[in-house]
Amino acid sequence: MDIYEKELLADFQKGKRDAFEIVMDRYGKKVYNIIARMISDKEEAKDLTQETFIKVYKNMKNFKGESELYTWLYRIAVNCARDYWRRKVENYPISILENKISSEDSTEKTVIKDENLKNILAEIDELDLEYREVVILRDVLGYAYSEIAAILSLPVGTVKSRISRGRSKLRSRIDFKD
Amino acid sequence: MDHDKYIDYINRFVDDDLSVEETIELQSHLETCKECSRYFEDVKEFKNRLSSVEEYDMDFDLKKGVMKEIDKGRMKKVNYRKYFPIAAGLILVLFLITPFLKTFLFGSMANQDSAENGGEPAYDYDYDYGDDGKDSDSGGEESRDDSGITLDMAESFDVSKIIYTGSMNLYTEEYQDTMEKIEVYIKSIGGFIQESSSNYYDSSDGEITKSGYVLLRVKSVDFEAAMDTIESYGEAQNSNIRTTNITRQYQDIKGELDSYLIQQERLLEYLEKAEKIEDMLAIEDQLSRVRNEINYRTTMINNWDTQIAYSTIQVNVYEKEVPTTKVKSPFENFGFRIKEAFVQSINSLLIFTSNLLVVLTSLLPYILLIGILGLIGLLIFKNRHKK
Repeated sequence: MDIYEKELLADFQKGKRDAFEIVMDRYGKKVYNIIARMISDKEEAKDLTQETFIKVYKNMKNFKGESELYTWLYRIAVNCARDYWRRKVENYPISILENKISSEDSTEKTVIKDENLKNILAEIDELDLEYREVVILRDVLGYAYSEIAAILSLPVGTVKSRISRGRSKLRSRIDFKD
Repeated sequence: MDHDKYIDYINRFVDDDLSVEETIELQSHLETCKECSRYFEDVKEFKNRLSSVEEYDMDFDLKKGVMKEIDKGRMKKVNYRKYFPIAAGLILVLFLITPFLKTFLFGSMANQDSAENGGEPAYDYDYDYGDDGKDSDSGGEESRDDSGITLDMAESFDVSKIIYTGSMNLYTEEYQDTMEKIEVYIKSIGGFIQESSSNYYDSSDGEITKSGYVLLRVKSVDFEAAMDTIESYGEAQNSNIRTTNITRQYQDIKGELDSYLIQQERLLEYLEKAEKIEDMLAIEDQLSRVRNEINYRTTMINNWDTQIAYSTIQVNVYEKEVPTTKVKSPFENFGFRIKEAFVQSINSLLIFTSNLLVVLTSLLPYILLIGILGLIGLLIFKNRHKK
């Protein structure tokens, strides 16, 4: 870590606004992508990204530097996404939610021409939370095992086995070569 | 065959997490196992497909939205906790300066009253000293303790028309001896004992306690020296000096006396010239009334002159037990002392609260001004910060 990084981190831990803005510039897009992929809704993800950074701002002084700053940020983002998902499930009966997901399939519909990819992403959304999170972080967003373990506060071994099982579950549902 | 193991290997292989040995092992397994081989192909395809997923662009101003929310939250919810130490410090300072404020506030009020009284100080006391008491209706008294009269006030008085009165409680180990010493001393400076009384009574624990008082008259010039000397005869407590300025009353009465004396002279002249008995009787009647008035005022002035010339000192003498021969309980009058301390604290608190309100009210314009300036400063700072 160079001097600039150290100073940035020190300022961040002191709760300085400038440091917070730099961090927001640097990691805003990543946080947005994590949330958007986790909840499969780009519009809602904008609000949740904002919510994530407001939480970060309020907890800046609580960051002890025990983990990397970005994994700490992404953990807050993942928790925001989980909360959103929980609220959504509580507010909508499961049947409506299922219809909503299948009919809207919001973000990718207009963007992704590749039907197969669209199906894969839709199936990822259908996975249980424990598999969905690791598969998205690894295969969609490309984070390393150790990073995923830090973000989700899991042992690396658990991350590996969950990824393996998650992919196997997906393979049982769809044919990747279609 | 352990397919699960090789499925894990396959997944780790596509993620570049497999060691060289594990990779060789996996390759040799895949050559023989069609099922695992198909799985391997599928996972590779899965990875390949997902690799085309692009990162979303941020088509919104995250920073603006977040900072706006944070600023809004700040305005709504000020973190009062950080102001607690400042507030506590302020209260402490106010508490500490309360006695000074008290002096300042009440002092200024007294000065105001003084100004309204045509330069004379305001008198709140009407103290009966236990002598002839003829001055009790004179008003115009000034009270002070040993701290002394201020120079300005002293200058506004005609010092020749001031009555000095002192009092003290004197604790001594030898009552009789102290009383004798006081008597000898007073006589030596040309004073006298106006009144004296001694009491001997049994206290609850069977000890005989001696106490008494003496009312001394000393020449005014010797007053302060006498106070100091008598205080040195024992342990003096509650030593007080009161001064009564009777200049105005004295002059009034003196003026009235002069007027009556002139009136008397005229009446005597009329009496000499009077021829009729009725006139003579009427004049005598008037003369008698005027003489009464003259006598009354002359006596008053004579009394005042005596009081001015001879100051009064009341000394209450108490015999105190010798500390080494008797255990003295510190819990004596404990309840009373607790009550007194509590009442004093309540009074202090009330004084503090009232002073605090007065000070805060007086500071209100400044607080408003500082608040407005602070707000303007904050807005300027924010604008610059945004730029």
